[in-house]
Amino acid sequence: MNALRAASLLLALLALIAGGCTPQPPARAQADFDVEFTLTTSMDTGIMVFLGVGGEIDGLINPVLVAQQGDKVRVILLNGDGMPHDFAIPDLNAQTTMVTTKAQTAEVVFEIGAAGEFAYYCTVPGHRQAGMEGRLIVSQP
Amino acid sequence: MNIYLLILLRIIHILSGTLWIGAAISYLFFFKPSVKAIGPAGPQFMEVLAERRKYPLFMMIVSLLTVLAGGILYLNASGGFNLAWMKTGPGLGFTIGSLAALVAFFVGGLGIGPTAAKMGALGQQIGMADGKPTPEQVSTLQALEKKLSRAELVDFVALTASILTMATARYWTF
Repeated sequence: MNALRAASLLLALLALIAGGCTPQPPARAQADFDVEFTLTTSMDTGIMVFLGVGGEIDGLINPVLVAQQGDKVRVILLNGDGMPHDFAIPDLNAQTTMVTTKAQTAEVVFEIGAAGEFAYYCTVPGHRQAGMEGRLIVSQP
Repeated sequence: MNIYLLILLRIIHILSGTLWIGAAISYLFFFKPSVKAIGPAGPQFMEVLAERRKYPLFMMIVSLLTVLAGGILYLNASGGFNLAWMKTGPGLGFTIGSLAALVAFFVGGLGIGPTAAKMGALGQQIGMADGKPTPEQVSTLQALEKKLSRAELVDFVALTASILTMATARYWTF
């Protein structure tokens, strides 16, 4: 009887330990961003513009970018014409470094704190006025 | 264009441009009036300035560097003379500034330099004779002086216009 009790206790103990050691399902990896846009610079239209690359904005001139409040947005800028350019949304403190040679890329990741419409543009003097400007529309979640 | 090359060109352009207008202002407002004031020693001073200090050569080098570096920077900024950019505020500003600098460059190279050289040669002729100019030489000198003064004034105004537009062009937002 004592042996039986001892065995039962041992089994129970082993079950408890085994239950505690069961591997938990892995925690979900946190993404670095929620939304990503890729823009390239172009002068093919005769004016200076951003062109959307991939996804819903593919091929669009100065595409409207859409995101939600609270999103982490990643924008990749690709130099498509060999001139100096950058991408900036001053109202959201977002700005890439300058890309000065063809095929050079730069990126910026920023978090959107408020809903609304924000202008994005190239800050090189004259480029915004020459056509390099678009909108980022942020909706409430 | 590589960012380091851009930076180097900007350094060359701004440094040379600063030396160019600095030297022009120094000459126009300080050297020239001083030369007139010291009378007989004036021509000797000018000769040292030109022949020993190589002032004309200095001016030619800094103006050429300014224009060459500026030309490359303009070509890059304008995307190969893209009209859409040239019609913007900054585009207009940089274009006007560039043209003004070119005026100053050619007036200096084709106007001031040769006229000053002629005056120098005439001065030498007078010196090699008995030091007293003939009425004809006086008349020629006066005409050359008038031509030189006009060219110097045009040069100064063009350089000033260039600097003012270049310094503010990026803020011409229209």
